[in-house]
Amino acid sequence: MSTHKVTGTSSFRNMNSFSDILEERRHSSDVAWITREWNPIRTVRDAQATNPIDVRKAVLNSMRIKEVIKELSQERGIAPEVLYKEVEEQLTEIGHNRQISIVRWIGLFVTKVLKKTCSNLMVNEEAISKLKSSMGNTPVIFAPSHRSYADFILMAYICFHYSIEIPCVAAGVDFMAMWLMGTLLRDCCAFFMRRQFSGDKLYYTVFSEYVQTLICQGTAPVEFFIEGTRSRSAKSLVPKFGFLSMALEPFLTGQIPDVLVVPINISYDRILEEKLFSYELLGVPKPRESTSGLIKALNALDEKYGKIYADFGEAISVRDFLKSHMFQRSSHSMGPIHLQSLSDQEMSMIRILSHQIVRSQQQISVLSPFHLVAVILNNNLLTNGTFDMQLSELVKEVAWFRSVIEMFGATVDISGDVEICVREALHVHKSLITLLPDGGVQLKAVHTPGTKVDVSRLKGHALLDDTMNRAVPLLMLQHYVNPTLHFLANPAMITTVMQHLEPSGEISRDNLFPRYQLVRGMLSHEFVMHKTWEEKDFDEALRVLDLVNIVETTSAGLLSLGNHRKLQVLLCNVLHPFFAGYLALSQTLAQVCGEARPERLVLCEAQRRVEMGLKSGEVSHPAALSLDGLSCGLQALVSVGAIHKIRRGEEVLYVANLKELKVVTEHLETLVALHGMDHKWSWQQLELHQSLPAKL
Amino acid sequence: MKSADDGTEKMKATACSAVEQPRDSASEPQQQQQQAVCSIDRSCVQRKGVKNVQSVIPRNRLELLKWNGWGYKDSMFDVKGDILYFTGKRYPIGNQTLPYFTDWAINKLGIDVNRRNRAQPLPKPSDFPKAKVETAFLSELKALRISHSIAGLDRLVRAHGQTLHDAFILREGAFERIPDVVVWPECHEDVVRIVEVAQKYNVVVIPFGGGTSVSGAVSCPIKEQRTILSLDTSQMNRILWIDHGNLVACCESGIIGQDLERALQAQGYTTGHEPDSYEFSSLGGWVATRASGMKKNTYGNIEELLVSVRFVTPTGVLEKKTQVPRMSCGPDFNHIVLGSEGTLGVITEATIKIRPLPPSKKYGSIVFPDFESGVKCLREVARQRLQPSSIRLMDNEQFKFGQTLRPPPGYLGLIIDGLKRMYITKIKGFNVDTMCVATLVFEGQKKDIEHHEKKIYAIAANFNGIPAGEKNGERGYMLTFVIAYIRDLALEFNVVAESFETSVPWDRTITLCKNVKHRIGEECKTLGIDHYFISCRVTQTYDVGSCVYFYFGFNWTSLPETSDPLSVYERLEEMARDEILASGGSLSHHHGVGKLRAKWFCGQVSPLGVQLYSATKKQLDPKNIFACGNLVHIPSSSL
Ligand SMILES: Cc1cc2nc3c(=O)[nH]c(=O)nc-3n(C[C@H](O)[C@H](O)[C@H](O)COP(=O)(O)OP(=O)(O)OC[C@H]3O[C@@H](n4cnc5c(N)ncnc54)[C@H](O)[C@@H]3O)c2cc1C
Repeated sequence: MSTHKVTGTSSFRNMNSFSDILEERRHSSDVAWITREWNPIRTVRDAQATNPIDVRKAVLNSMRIKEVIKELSQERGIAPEVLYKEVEEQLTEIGHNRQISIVRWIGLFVTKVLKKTCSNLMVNEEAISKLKSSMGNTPVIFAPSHRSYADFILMAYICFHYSIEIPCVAAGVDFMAMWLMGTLLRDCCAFFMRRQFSGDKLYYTVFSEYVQTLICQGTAPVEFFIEGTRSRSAKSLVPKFGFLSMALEPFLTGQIPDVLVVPINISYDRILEEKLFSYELLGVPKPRESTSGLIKALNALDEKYGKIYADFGEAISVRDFLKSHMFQRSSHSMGPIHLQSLSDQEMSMIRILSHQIVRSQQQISVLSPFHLVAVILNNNLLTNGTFDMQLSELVKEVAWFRSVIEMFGATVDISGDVEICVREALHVHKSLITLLPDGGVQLKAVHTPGTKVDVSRLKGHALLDDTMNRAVPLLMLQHYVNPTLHFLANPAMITTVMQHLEPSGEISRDNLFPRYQLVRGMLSHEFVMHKTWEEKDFDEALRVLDLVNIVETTSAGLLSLGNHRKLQVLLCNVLHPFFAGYLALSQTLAQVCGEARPERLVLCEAQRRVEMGLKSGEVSHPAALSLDGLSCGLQALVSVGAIHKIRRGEEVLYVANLKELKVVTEHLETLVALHGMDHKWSWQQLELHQSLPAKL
Repeated sequence: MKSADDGTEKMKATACSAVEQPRDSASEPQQQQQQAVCSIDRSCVQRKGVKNVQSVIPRNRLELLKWNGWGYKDSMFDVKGDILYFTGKRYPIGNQTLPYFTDWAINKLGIDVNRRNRAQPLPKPSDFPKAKVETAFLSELKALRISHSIAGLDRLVRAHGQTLHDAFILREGAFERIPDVVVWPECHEDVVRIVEVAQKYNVVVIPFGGGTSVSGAVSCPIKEQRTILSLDTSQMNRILWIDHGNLVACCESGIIGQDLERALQAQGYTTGHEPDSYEFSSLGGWVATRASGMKKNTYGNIEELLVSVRFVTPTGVLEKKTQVPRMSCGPDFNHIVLGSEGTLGVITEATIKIRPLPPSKKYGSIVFPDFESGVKCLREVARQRLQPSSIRLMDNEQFKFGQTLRPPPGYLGLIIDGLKRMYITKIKGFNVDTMCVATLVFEGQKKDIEHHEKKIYAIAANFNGIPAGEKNGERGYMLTFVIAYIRDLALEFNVVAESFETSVPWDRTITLCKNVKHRIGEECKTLGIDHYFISCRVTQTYDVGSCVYFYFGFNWTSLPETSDPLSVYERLEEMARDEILASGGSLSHHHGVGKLRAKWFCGQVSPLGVQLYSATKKQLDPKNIFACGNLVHIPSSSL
């Protein structure tokens, strides 16, 4: 297996270093395990756990709070005592607790649930022991991927299992409102963060001081989700760096000697929220977090969710990271520490670091057999216009694709007989895919027609029932295609570009690179690619494409497409829905954004256009309806200068730069058109399996 | 005392009104040095009121001092049986075995007392590179009757200061470049002439005071092709006058700290300037490096002590023509001289403040549960501007180390034992592995001292500090001078060690200390160094911040065969410096920049600052004959 080296830190990796931590639970007493004597490793060796009350006190008495209160009380004419009161209230809202007894109780409950619903919880133990050996005298930040609510619980659970201090995790305040859940999370070391607070100076100061106190004086890892929210699409989201820069400020201003950031990936065979996410992507908003919602979700726990994989990436020493980027840290020697703010160069370093964290999360992800099944079925749909496939054919294709994607650096959890693995995967996902008695595989209708949707809460265009009917299951399927794309995107971009070369079909590396750059510029938000990695990624992708016979070097030293036609098609197919969505978007923008228009309107219009395209056969995949995808498209168009983003208070508006937009639209048109080559499929013909799942 | 240059000595001795005998004249006369003898008809006029001071240190330094290590020849750490002890009678721990210290060295630094690396022997005259010097130039010196030498040993002795690098090379290597000729001017006028001739012959001049530099400042730039002349100021060591009414004294720049103090104290005065190197460092060196003394709280640092200065440069003599307490008269050019580190000219005379000797002096000490409490206490003392003459805070490592430098039980003043007796109950909360100690020196009227002490101890109590007696304080200061000898011992047992320092705002003092220790610890771990010692102390406090002094040493036995301990040390010190700067500290509080820290100079003073310095340099020394290359390296071609 080759590993995809961008950060230079990944090392040879395979499933052998993973162990199933549920295995032990199935054979010994849960209660004995949960009540065992627990002496976790902390970020400060041999230290006692810091008392949460002390943290709040330290914040309250900090220089920074003192000063901000002085300032605000003068500015607003409010007595300092009143502001102190407010700070105390905010701290009560923010502050975590550490109730190990609660952790134990929840741990017991989670054990039971996991044992019932999941077959395995695979954790990379080698990585864990490496992590533990690096802990003890440096603050540690855990940066897990965020695909499901389960991430919160699993992180704490895994830490409890391996006797690592339960991390203080940043959670959104919406959790707090949930009856019981808020308290429970808080007792398990969650602290709470309001959604939008950059305008609220007092809150901002209190919250960042809280985080920095945890970093500087805490003894537990600080955990946060760098993607900001659960990724509805299962693709990585463009990292948010507000929290990270807050957390790194003490290091950058010389208050601590280093910080370790540990990228963590939690991959799921099947995600609890899969259906909900598909609706959300289509614009039907998620229900507000509520405990009853959770209980409903718990009913979903009757289902099977297969395997969960957790891997801990190599800890990034922020000091080493800066050093490798030739960055000298010494610009904060003037003025009091609490008045320092980060420079533009520092912010751009943090931006690169955030991207690297996400990249690392991608690299340490694990693909389960169903991810490959999804790719093959989806590809079949786009190539042959039909979903249906025979199991034997599917197994063959999965086996082939597995060898390909492993070449591209992915870790795939298939061992032994592929057919068994595929059957298991289909079983876990039987609510989405049916295996017919004749060995045929079919997609199921999962949307209940006529479902009452509160139109006033819609985020996008009100899609027709018919559209929903087909789009929901296909978006669910896309959800499982997406995690593979981090390994495929770069090779796929090159392949797509090479599909429509001049008649000669040959191109030099140096001529190919700018064309790749152009496409990549458009997709870099979609796949979280930092500009500075362009060349490295390009060369790495070329190297792999050469290995799989997609790109060949001619005797004249030029590059041309090789004879691996099947894979070429697949690679072009995976990118197609994105280009289609972006095209619809840019056409929409050209039409409506002659003057500034609000974001929501643009998205609605674009969705409407895609819906029409699907009907007319112009658009071939409903993934183009995804609001996440369309938002990425907006970002991309902004970054290439085709549209401008305007902020008016809370509102975000867009206005087109028609000349630039035209160029981009034409480019997208060629990319999409080229794609039409093998399509016989039209949206209207998609057959869904309506009956109950067949027994497997 | 015998000197190689009897003529001069005799002349000086007879002219001297207050001759003092050196403390120790037991050292054997060295082999006769071949050197040009100059005598009679001194052009240096004996002015009225001039006091010749008999220096402790003979002109031939090696009669009294080690050629390849720190300090007096008769004083060093040595091994007797399996136990370390300190030789000689000069220091209070002299001639005493040190079993605790031995254990400490074995456990902390992993040394094996039976495996000793002996230094190379004194080089033979033929071992030295030939002096590269034109005869015409030497003839001019002769004609000017300026004492000089091209003897290898004389040149070697002035080729280095006291950095680890210097010590290491002396023990087991050879300097790539040493001066070609050494001269001993005896007065300001001599220096003026030397500089003139040097300018004429384009000869490089490196002023040499006490040679205690720890920044590579007196070393020869390796690539220098021109003749290098070491200008040894040691024979310019008279006290030219004392102004009792205004409390100032004018001295020649070569006077050594201990000589100056002894001579002044005989008259009831003190400068109060006591850098830890004051036994050997010179007034000119202090000015040239912006030195800082232990008791600066009462007397001020050198820049506050300095009233005026005579400064000989290739383009003329810079001096202030007044002896006033302060003036508003444009930029203060004293500050061009202060910190010039031998790159702009030679300080020949300095007028400095003196103070009547304090009627009484008292030591004190305070123990704190941890370093943070100690720093907070020092900060509070500084906030109230209540610092006694000296107040220092040692961290736990140094506290523990200090405890080991004592003979077996029976000796008084052991902090731990003493405390056990005195404060057994109170101490209960103290952890031996976190506690640390502050040492204090009070000076003044007995009553004032008592009053002052009370205030300080009251502040200390707010930070859980407990007074721990006079003895412990005194020991702390006594050890200061002894600690400098440890490095030579260490080198014999595969341990390389050095100190470095910084100044830092109060709000970053604690974090800076932590960060640097962390950095060093991590790097040692990465390099596989199992035995190392990193420790710090706050040695000075100011209104706005403190001075922090680090000791770092490690046993290099565990390093791979191929890596050279010296460069590993230098790399680690460089990382420590980067960490210091990133933590808000300065490049140096008092050691200076020299060559060792020149790469960071621009970052500290801004590019314009460097240009300003260079412009000054160009004006004062257009041919760059003061080319020792400190601060900024200026290639001669660019001038
Ligand atoms: C054990 C030890 C303890 C120390 N403790 C202290 C301390 O407490 N405080 C402190 O400030 N420093 C301390 N130092 C550093 C050193 O002693 C000081 O920098 C001291 O000022 C150097 O004086 P020196 O006479 O030895 O100068 P040298 O080492 O001879 O020279 C230092 C620099 O000054 C220049 N120079 C010397 N004399 C003249 C002159 N007359 N005119 C022009 N330039 C001249 C030299 O060219 C050189 O660049 C210590 C050093 C050691 C080894």
